[in-house]
Amino acid sequence: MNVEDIVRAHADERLAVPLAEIERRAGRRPRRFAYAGVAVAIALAAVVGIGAVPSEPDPAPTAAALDSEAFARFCAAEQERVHPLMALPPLRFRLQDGDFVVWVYGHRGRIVTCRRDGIVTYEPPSGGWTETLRPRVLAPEGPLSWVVGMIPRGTERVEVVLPSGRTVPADTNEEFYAASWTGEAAMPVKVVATTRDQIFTFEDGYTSARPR
Amino acid sequence: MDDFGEFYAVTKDGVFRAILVATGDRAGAEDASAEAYARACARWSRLREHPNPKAWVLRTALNVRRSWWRRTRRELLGAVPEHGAEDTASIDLDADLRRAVAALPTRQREVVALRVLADLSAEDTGELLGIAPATVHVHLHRALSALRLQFGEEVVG
Repeated sequence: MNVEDIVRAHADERLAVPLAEIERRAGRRPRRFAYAGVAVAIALAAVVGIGAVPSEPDPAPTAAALDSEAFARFCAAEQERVHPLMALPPLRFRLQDGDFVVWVYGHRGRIVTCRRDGIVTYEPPSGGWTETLRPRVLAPEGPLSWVVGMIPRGTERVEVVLPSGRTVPADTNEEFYAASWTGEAAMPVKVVATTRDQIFTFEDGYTSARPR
Repeated sequence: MDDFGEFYAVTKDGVFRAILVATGDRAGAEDASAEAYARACARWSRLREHPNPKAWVLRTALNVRRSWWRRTRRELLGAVPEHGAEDTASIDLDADLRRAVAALPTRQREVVALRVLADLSAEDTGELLGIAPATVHVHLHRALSALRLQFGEEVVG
């Protein structure tokens, strides 16, 4: 994986707005606004150079100063900055190992993770029940690796299996599971959820079920 | 580059890709990019003397997008697409890579958008995001490491 792969993957994304439309928009502005815009631009240029500097969110709490309230405020501020129209879902999991911290919020399939470097929103899976259990989040950097996903109704326990064969028990909260481990930065090869009468297994890209 | 038309033709796709990846919303990215270019066009006689007009357009487009979110705060909550409207069943590598980039943490995604897709320097990216160039390098390194791992490649460094 390198930057060329990323550029190539996005190469078909093109701005399909003709130059004439840009010039029409530019020419449509009332002159009094244009003068006002020039005045504002000059004022800004005098202070910070051309263009407005985007507002910067509050910094994430340092490890030494980390407490639940401070990190909750940081996560709420990041959500406000990135998705001001959407409130944070309920908090489901708090994972931490040394300096690495991640909180996992979720509701109705939507997952929001919050780490020191920002939040990520994961929309609900669209693949139906065969998508259930698919690890939807992986944090490869830092000392802690972790996954989050969804579980079938009535799940009693969940285990993830790593490439080495090591089995890691997962925590569950409502429709979500989360598992974390150290020492092996890799995606799980299997996730197994056990309900009262069935065993669901995610493996090779989809979830299957068999009687318990 | 003296001619605005030439500037637009050369930079518009890179700017759009960067705004799309940074914000995750195709329609909003298109509108914000067009609005930023319209503002650039309206003041091109002065802006063309700017040391980096593309960075100016990127900054303006990001500010337009943020302003839009705040103006529509009172509207009914809807599904805000984080990853666009792609077919999630696709196994196409490029689509998977786009989805993986869209799933990066906010700062990593913004740095990938500006450093990789808009081809800004670490200094310009840092200035635009309000962070140090060294922090830009850290976010980019983490983003690439995350993508390597997700696509089954060994993480180096």
